[in-house]
Amino acid sequence: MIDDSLGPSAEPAEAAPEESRPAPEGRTLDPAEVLFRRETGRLQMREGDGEWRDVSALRLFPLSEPERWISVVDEKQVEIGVFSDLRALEPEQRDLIEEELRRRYLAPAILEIISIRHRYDVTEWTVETDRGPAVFMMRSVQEKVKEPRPRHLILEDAEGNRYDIPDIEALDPVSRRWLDQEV
Amino acid sequence: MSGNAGSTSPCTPEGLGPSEPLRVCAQSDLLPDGRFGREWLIIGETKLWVMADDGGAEPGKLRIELPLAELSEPTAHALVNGGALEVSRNGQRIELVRYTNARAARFGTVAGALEKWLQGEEAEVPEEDEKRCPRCGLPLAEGTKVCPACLPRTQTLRRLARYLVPVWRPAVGLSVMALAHTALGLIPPYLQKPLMDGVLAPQEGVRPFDERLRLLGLLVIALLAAHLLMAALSAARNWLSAWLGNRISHDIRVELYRHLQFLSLGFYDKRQMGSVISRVNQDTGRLQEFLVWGSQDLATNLLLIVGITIVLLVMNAKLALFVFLPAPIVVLLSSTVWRRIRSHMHRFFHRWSRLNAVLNETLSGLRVTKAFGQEPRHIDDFSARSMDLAISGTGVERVWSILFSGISLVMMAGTLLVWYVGGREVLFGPMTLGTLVAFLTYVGMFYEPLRFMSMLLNWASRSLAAAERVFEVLDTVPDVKDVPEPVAMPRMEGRVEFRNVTFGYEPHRPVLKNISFEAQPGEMIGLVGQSGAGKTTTINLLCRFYDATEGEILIDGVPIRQIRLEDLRRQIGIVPQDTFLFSGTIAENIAYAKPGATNEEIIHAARIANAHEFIIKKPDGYETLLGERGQGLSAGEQQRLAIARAVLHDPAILILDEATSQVDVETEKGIQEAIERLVQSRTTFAIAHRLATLKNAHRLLVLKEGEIAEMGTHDELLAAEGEFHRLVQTYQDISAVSVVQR
Repeated sequence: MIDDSLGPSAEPAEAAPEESRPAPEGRTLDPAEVLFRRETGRLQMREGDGEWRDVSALRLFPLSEPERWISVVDEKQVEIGVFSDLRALEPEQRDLIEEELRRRYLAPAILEIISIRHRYDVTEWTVETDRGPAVFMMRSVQEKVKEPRPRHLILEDAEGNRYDIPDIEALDPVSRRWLDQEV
Repeated sequence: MSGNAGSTSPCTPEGLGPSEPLRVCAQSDLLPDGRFGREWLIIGETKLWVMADDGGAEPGKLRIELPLAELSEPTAHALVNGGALEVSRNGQRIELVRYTNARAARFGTVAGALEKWLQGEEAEVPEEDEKRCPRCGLPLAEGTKVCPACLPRTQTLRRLARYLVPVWRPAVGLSVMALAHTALGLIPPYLQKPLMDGVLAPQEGVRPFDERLRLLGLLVIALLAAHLLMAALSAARNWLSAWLGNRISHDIRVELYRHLQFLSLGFYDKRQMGSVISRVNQDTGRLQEFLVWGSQDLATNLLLIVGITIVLLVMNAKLALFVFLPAPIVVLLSSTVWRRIRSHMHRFFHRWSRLNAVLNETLSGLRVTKAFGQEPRHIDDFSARSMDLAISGTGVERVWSILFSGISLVMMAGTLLVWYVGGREVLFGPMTLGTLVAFLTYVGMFYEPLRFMSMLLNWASRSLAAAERVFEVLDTVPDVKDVPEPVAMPRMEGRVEFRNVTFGYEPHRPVLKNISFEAQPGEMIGLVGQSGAGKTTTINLLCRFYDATEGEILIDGVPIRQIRLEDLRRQIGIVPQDTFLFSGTIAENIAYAKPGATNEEIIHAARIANAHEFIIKKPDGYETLLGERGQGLSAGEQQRLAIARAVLHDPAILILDEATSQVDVETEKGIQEAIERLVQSRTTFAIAHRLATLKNAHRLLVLKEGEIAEMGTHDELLAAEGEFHRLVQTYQDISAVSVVQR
């Protein structure tokens, strides 16, 4: 094994057929080879001779790269392959995938903080999100706010729901002031 | 989720066609396009409907109407931050409703019930376990029904006061002392008046010089006496407070800890250990502070305010008004300051705890850090966080100093007003210098309690919240507890029977489904299956860490729920996967389940467990001190101590949970020997991934996805070429691979 990987000359002359065993590095899907279709309420995928009748798409880096590294899995959640960039797909194909992603990722993004009220040991947040206005309650705010990347906050409310603030700098000054008081 | 949850259920709908008995009405909180909004999923005897919920009394628009007879495969899909309930109809997949995490458990239950209904079976959908307070809509903390906002405060207060009952004498004494101390504090300024007017600056010399001198002496002695008394009272008061406070918090702490020990494991599954620990530590501390100081401070400050107000009004009503003028500003300012400071303090403490977490994590992981040469990164990270802390610490001080200076200024403004107006009165009017001086001293004493009162409300509400968190734990009834008249079973034979046992940690997600089997006394049963198949859950039920949702477990023919818990635990021994050793000596750890064991018994147990040989090599033999979690012993040594522990416990039913998973092949042989000695004449349940470990088992129970796939002897199962055969094959494949790689 070790010798093999060291010597460049030891590269196998002919690569083993991909189908026989999934390569450990996974399979990159070629946007030109793949065709998606929505039928009978399911997302279906065809690639060459292969056909999958119920696939779904998920993000490998949902926070930092929502448009890249999209994994396509079958109904048993086994990966079929990965798109390195969604933008390489034909528009209508891309719409299908994005619809699927919108379906899967339900966490709203906070666009504006309207008010934050303290009621005993919970805080009540009134916000405007990309999914409409929302009011949610948080318990022990300091523990439930995560900062996965600088300036990106994820809030978890008392019922286990997540709210994203993708970039705190992008918030308007009033929202910022509300946020600063809490976090 | 969004808005108030209080819209009426359409479960008595009009316009839904033929009215038929409805089975369930479930409210979702997302619309089909993923926006926030509510819909109702209604399932009747023959149909299901989905309709919009406009929040009004009118039934909303019907979006979906489907006949149940044509539906199949209802599934609650887990999505990120929520889920979707889908069904199939003629091969077509239909999404019924979408919901956030807040509703996921509810729709999980509904999906399970729907599946049964579609198959013509009976199913119950329990009433929604409301996670919000029905009165105010605040979300409730996990596993509680008490809403902190709606609970009458007086009830909490009364309950808190009960902790004062056993110590009522010192508590009353303390209050009397506090009041006396405060009242005494009002005297010295009053004495200033005669001191000024009668002695130092008498108006139109009335008194002869000698008398003035004598009066001076008397007044100073009176002042001295007052201060002496105050000092004595203050010392006694502080001492008594400390005694009382520590006594009360000890009582609460121990009560809480005792309760935590008896609470079922189910309680801990739902919570983070950190938050439980902070209840024991911080919340009881807060209660102590509140109980001891809260009542005293409230009483004394009230007394001060009332007392000074009266004194001021009596001394000079007009001047007093100038004192009261800035009072509202002081109160208002104090409460805003308090809020501002609190958010800054929060941030400061949060950063402080984060820095601690980083410190803890990185130092614990120092081996990894060194191995990958990442020291500089952690130094940078630490330095950045430390800087954050420094900045927010400065911030706290800055806000504190600016705002409090502001308050002092306002207070000073009041004082200056009194100086000016009072000064004029002394110059022109009837007022004496002594009155003015005394007046000014009282003014200085007046604003402080005002400031305190404005913070008190906040403090009290936080303390009551702490009290409620503590009481909430105390009020949690253990799921697993003795029935009123338990069956005493001092000696068991060890016949175990599972009868149609179904169980899920969350009721709507069964982990074990309809398990039935029997084990004879002395029999060794091997539990086999992939991880997640339900092996450990089976064991958990047998130990009665949890109670089965459906079905029964019997030991010697007696239902496990009827058996006295103490007897049950006495007769069941576990050699767990992760040995947990407490800090203490090796001997103490072996004798953990039998504290009175003689040294002879301990040595005997250690010999059976093949532990004796390594123990004698330790410098302090059986009295070698172990660190936390058995530091200083290898995994194999720890496991042998766990076996010795079980030997000494001498149970009728023995459970081996992956007892040899942590050790190498050579050590395993020694442990295997020990186990063989241990299992003799006991009913044994053994879990093992290495199937070879189970070669001594009389029978094997093969679990798959919560159900019994097969049961029989090793040879029978191999011959049957079923699930067990497949597992063995896989196992051999892996062994073959690892041999090649070596």
